[in-house]
Amino acid sequence: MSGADALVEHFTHGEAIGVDVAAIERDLAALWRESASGERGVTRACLWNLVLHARGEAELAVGKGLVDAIAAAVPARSLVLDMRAEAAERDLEAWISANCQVAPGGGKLLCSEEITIAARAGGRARVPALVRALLVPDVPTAALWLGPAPGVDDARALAALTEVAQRLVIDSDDAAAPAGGRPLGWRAGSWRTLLGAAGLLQVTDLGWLRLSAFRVLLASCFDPPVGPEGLLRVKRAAVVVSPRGVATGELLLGWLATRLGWGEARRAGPDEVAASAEAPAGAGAGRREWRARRAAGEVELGLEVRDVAAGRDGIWEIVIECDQGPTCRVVDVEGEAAGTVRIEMDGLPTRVVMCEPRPDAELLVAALGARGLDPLYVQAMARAAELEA
Amino acid sequence: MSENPLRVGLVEERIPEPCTVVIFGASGDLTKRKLVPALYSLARERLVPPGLTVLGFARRPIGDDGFRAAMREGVEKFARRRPVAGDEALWASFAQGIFYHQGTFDDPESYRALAARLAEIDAARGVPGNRVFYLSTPPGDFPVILRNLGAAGLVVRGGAGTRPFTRIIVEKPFGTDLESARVLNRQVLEVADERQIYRIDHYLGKETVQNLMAFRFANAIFEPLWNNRFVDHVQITGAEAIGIEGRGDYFESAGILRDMVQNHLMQIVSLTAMETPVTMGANDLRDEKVKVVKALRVMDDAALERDVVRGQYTAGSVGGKALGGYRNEPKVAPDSKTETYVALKFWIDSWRWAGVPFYLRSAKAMPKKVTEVALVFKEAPLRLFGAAAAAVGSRANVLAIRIQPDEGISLNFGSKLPGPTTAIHPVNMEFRYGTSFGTEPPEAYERLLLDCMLGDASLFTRGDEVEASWTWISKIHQRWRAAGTDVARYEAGTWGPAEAEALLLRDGRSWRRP
Ligand SMILES: NC(=O)c1ccc[n+]([C@@H]2O[C@H](COP(=O)([O-])OP(=O)(O)OC[C@H]3O[C@@H](n4cnc5c(N)ncnc54)[C@H](OP(=O)(O)O)[C@@H]3O)[C@@H](O)[C@H]2O)c1
Repeated sequence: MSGADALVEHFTHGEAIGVDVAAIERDLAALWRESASGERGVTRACLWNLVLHARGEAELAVGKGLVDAIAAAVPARSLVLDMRAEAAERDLEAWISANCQVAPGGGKLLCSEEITIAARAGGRARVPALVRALLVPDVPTAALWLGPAPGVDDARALAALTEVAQRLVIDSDDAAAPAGGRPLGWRAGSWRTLLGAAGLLQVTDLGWLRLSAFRVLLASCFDPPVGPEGLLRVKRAAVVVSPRGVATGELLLGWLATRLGWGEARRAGPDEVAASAEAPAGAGAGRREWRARRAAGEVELGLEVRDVAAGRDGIWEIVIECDQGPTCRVVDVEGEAAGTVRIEMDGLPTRVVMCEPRPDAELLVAALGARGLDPLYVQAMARAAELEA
Repeated sequence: MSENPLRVGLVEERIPEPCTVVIFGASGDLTKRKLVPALYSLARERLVPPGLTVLGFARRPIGDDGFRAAMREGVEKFARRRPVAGDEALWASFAQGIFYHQGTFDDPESYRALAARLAEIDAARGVPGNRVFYLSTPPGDFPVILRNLGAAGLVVRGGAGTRPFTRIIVEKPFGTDLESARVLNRQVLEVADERQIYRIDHYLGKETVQNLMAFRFANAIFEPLWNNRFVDHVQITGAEAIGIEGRGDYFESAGILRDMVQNHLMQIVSLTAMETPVTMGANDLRDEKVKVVKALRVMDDAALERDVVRGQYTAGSVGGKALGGYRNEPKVAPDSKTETYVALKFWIDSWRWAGVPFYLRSAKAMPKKVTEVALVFKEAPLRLFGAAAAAVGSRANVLAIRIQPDEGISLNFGSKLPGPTTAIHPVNMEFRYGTSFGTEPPEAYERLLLDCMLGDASLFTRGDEVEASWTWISKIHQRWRAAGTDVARYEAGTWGPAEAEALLLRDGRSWRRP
């Protein structure tokens, strides 16, 4: 294999090739031309421009992992921005690589391209213009914010992303990653920042997509033969979460508030919270209570953080209690195989259903598909913001 | 409040009401391989209500436990979502809803006992009397089961809005010719309304068959080309690599025309050729499909002679394995004239398709299994690039929709080869439907069972549609019987007899190599 052939081989197998920052597009085109061996040609497909924003080695690794994992399902041009404040010898560098699927019969098919731009210190200011130039025309752009919510230092970066993107993908799961294991962690307590962003572009939250399984389970309690009437008389809605599930818990309560037409939530006074309800013990544990108006009555809302390691996506238990019944309880099945949930509903036999966690890459694919555009999410988020400490 | 507000906005927005699926012929192959595994996969994905109940009806005395054990085995082997270690609690929950009722199809007492059993189970499981009767039996048993169900008062007449609902799913084949299909339609309608009848053609449950409609009606750029101004001809292929696998007695009386063409491939013809339906609702959609079948030009004797080729495979090899000839199969007559291959050229007399020939072929013992539709477009009106331009391959654009396997769509177009010449090279743009992860598409039977429970008959065949297609197909059978001529022969593992190649060559065309 000649030197040029080897380069092409590496390129189409996902290895990064260093290129001249001023001529990324030209170098990419050259490599594609060379990969089109003989008469067969390479067919590329592109559904999205993905712009990933990473601030450090850990976020970068997670971001690249995600891009590779979704390459087959969502062919895209990915721009991975590795942005760091510290100075380096070169303040702007770029690499390109491609991920190809092999078509039946051997041709290369559905290749995703990846362009990594490393910007240090002052180089960061020159990134937005590069990004603008590198976006593939006629396909939408999604920005993925890796790691915790943007801080004050990140304001410019966030503004630059929202300028080019039609969709912002975040993860409201509390395990603000990468340390906590989630790639797109957007710490709890950021609902208002996020609401602001949602005014400008579509916001998609992997945390919300994770919740859909629980939403289905809760909904199923009120299907026939029980019926939805009890939902008009909800007395109490409470969620028990592990320390990483706080934002998810808030979002769930926000969803119930919007679906069931409850009024604005207010923090419950100390005299309103039952004395028997002892604060749970353990690291990060605690309880918050709210009250909200509903037609002909009031609803108690509760969010309890327990020091439990298990619990799917941080959710341990959800209870919806209706005045004069029924009570629906969805509980993580402890000890048994992960991903099993027990549903207890007055008047029906207890049932066990599957509710397995979905891999982040799969959620990201969903986020870039039709499910990523969900008006209910923005409504639920607005209500979750009321619960923000 | 009648709508469940928590369901709004969920993918699983529509969920059926609790019901009992009564399967006649429950100890048979289909129940174990397809039906119960499909119901389990649906339950696992939370697409059916917890009250879902299955009651198997057959002759052998296996009892609830025996039936559950057999179903467990079927689910483990065949379900798309197979139970894995740790699913025990889920299986236990599902199995609580499985029952067996021993009875014989022609014994009215069995049905009275069935009615009593159903009432008892409904009460215990919180099922409000909704029922789906699934006739998974040899077709000869359909009439007696229908009659007895009616006599036992087990069928409550009424459409999708009626509660409790009764729906009847009828397996294929629906008749063996026009006359028998008419008789069966009459027998069905004696006990139930058309709106309650769900005639299954599992091809319609396939994701890619449905994608054919999505592709046509959700993309504005293709529909304007989908007519006789741009399409030169259409090719439909339904090929199986297997032989008849010992089912000689069945196949001798069926033949490929009944086995594949009258049902599955006719569905594909309808979906390819139909006009845009007013809505995707069951009746609007099926109205358009029936129009296509009614517009099939009836073949006169000359056309039948000229445009229909039938063949039968002789010994050969497929996929590296030797395959004996059809006439050497057990229970096949040594001088059998049953066709294992058929190729047809036909016309659809509608504004859209006038002048566009449709070529269809279906067979056993082909080199590979493939079902596809290909629209071959007319060539550009002027050959600006000269003869050298098309040095490689055909000049016509082809849009191929692959239904199975490797589901997907490919579009072939010409592109200039780089360099100082004007050589044009065909380029294939391919979209593959089965992406490598995310959720796998549901099995056909999952989709169809779910739709029936939801009262949506769009993907089921309507009575008039079945009769229309038999009207056309029976003509061919009559002609074959009358002519008494022999079938052409082809070696197993080839693409069919030479006569079928000639059918297209005559028109200056050739079969695609799928
Ligand atoms: N198998 C497939 O993959 C497949 C695919 C597409 C369509 N189909 C269609 O589906 C239907 C069923 O197919 P299958 O393969 O499951 O059939 P099968 O294996 O032959 O099973 C026939 C069933 O009917 C029962 N049965 C027969 N006579 C009976 C009687 N007098 N009283 C009570 N029960 C009786 C048998 O019960 P006992 O054994 O207990 O007597 C058995 O459960 C057929 O219409 C077939 O064309 C099948």
